[in-house]
Amino acid sequence: MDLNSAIKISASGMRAQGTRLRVISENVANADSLGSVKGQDPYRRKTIVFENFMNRDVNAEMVRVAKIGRDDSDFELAYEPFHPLADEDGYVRRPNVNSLIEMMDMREAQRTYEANLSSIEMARSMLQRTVDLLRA
Amino acid sequence: MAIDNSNLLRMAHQKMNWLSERQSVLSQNIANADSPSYRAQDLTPLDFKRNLQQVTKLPVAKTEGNHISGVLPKSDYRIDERSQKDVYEASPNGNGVVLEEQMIAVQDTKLQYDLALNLYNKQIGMFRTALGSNNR
Repeated sequence: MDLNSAIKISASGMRAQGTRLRVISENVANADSLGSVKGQDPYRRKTIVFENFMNRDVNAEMVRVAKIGRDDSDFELAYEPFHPLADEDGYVRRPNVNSLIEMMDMREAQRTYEANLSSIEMARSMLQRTVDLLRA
Repeated sequence: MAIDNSNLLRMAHQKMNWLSERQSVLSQNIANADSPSYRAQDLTPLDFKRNLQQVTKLPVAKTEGNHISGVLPKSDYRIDERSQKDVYEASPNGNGVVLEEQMIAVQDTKLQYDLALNLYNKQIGMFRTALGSNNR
């Protein structure tokens, strides 16, 4: 039964990384979303936090998304005096999304996802070989 | 002599139990590779002598509908406390899981599992030879 719980734990990790990838996609997709009227805030970058919790059914520490928060860092300012959303000084506020950070985050999510996947593969092949005992 | 009494079979059985428990701990580490302040865990090495004397444990009974199920120590296998402190690389959020290290441990677990399984298989084969069945 332990190998089954190993598979369940890894699956919870994959689900968490999937949610993380969704948040990253939202950030990247909205990297140019400005406010719709003058003075409105542009898109604010979202952040994701994981936590480990004890799952009593599986009797192991699984992972889940603790919260999806907002990045309160300053918006970027671009000097575009003729932009319809520009303020009196000619600056347009742009989302605080840094595509380099998002790409790096994405690679990390992918790496952890793959690690979880190969962990599942290992557990599965161990189970498979045990079942093969019956065939001998 | 019952087949179950064969020491080699029992040792292989214990080893496989320990390895699948370890696989589940490693899965837990990999799943929590991005959880803040999570530290990688590992099991203490298998002690055959103690494990062969091990008795079956019973779960805590649930006598009321609103009782939560007790966490049953599945085995005598303990989490190695030492391994949680000796971390040489921790990310800024306090996570101490090194994925590469975990993947190597997973691979190692799989190899040892295969070894125990093959030994088990061989022993059963020898029983078969002694029984003189023709299907092998």
